[in-house]
Amino acid sequence: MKVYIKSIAKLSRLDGEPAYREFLSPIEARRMSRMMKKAIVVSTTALREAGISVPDAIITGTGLGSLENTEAFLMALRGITDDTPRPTNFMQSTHNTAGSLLGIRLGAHGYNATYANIGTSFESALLDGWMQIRLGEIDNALVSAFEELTPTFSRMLAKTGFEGTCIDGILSETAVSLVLSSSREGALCELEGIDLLDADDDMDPDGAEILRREDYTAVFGNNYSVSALGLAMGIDKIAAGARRVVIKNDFRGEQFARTVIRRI
Amino acid sequence: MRISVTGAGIVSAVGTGLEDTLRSLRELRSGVGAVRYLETAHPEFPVAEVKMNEEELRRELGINPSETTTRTAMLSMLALREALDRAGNPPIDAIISGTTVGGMEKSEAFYRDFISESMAHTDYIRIHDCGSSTMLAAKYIGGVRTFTTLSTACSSAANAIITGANMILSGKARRVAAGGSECLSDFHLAGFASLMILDRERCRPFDVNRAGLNLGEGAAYIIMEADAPSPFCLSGWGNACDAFHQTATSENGEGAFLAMEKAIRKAGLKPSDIDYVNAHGTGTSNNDASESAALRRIFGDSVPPVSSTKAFTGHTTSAAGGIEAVISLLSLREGFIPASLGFSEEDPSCIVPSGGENRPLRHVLSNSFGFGGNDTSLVFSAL
Repeated sequence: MKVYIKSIAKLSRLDGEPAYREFLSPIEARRMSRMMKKAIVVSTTALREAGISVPDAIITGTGLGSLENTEAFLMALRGITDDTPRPTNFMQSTHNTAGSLLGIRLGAHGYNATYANIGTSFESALLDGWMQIRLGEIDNALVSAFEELTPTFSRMLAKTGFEGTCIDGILSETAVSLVLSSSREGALCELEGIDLLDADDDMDPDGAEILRREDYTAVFGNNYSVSALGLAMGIDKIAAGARRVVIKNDFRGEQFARTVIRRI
Repeated sequence: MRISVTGAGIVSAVGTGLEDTLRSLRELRSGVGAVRYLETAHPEFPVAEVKMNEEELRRELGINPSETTTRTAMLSMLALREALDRAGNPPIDAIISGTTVGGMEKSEAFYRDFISESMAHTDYIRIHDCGSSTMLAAKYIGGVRTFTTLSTACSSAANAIITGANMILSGKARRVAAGGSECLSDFHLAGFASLMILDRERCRPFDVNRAGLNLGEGAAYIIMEADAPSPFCLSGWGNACDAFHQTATSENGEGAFLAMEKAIRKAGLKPSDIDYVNAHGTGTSNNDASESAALRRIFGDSVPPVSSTKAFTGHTTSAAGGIEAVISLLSLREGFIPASLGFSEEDPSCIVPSGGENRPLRHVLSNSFGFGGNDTSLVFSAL
């Protein structure tokens, strides 16, 4: 069985803040972290474009998870802020907060999982959806990558020398949702395969256009899940006429992944 | 294709290794007790700690005191080492692990340094996240091509096992280690305290007087491969979303029901084929009632023996799916149903748990339900 990408929606540093009120009531918006709000914007858009109301599976990748809520709870716990540790912050600090929120809003009772695998969280989620469609377990999946950034975590990352915290790099956020499907009709491209690797093995398919990590971080800035924006860039290349595109990920020289898409 | 289980490893408050764990289960030795190792603002809550401090864990694993590592990673290494050893130390293609705490136990200790200009403990910022604990474990084991990490709260390890099975079925891996690891942290304990679902005594799953859960820690992994000569296999699995509330579960246990139904169907079985259910059974009012409702929907009037082993191990959250998978495999191997420790009085809204007896078992269902309604059930079978 082949796997197709039906739609993709993204919010990157180039997009600015979206008009949340088109997607959320002001009360809902007040209760949510920025990452959750962005998750709703991109997932709603991707599902709408794919013509799917309730996906068979919701699969999410996030390297660092709900930083805003985690930090609020941790700072209260450590007496850095005067707050008492609030249950709402704790509840929304788990990595599956966004994925389960989407499940609740869509009334989606199907497969729901979240990957938190440093720099290949997105590829892990994509691989899961790809495998399950190929195995005939599901017909479609909403696959997302969410990465939020807080001022505190930016400063922490800067101390580790994380690329993007240097002078010419930009730390950024990612919000991407896409719909995978077993149906070719109206698809943007075929998702040929995903590999999580322990090294750059250079076994890229012949004649493919290669997008390396620095190609997309130069545009979108750097964060743990920016490779999802790299895939969006690859899909644009297909739309512009490329036959086959390989999106490569090399995270800190420790984690590697290769995603291959093809024109249909 | 059959997903054979060829090895298993476990560490929890009731022991290190399969035999130690089995002995505690048989002799009704609980690992729940007063806080001994964790630095916490909430010593009033009993916890189920692995009885080794950082130094002892490092010594056991041969990890240098100067090396940057976390308790979650070290528990993971310990359980992986046993699982591989029991499988005869074969090469593995992938480690799939579940965790939520990740490096938080270090981050909370060093947080004031993290957010100041100080460069002390900066190495720990890099490994604060979940996936880093899997990466550290993969490096320790060595020769592992792929690793990934699930974080779906208390069903993380069970979901890691599903992904492992799918990797084998897809031809992405020939042999995998899957499970989960979680260490106690003040963040986690304070979080559950803020939700007011921690029992000040040892937890009492399905009891009418149950008053919450006890947090625990540990790690457990199973080695899976296709059609290996092993009498044990992962025969079914199901993941479903309750899609009800971020932390509460629906009254009729919809997500739990769907997960169990899928798992039993996937195994090609009927509900009446299930010989024992290792329940999620946390001891909270909400979970046990909702899980009971789901069990009654699946099994009708003939609910098989059900027990929760959380009064032994505590609720090891993200590791629970792995720890209880290994306990389910021990049950199959031994023909033994672990006791419902702590249970004394029936609750009309709950099933009546049982256990503590020997009887031949062929199919065991293991439940793991998480925040966000991420519900997962696994079926293990003996051939």
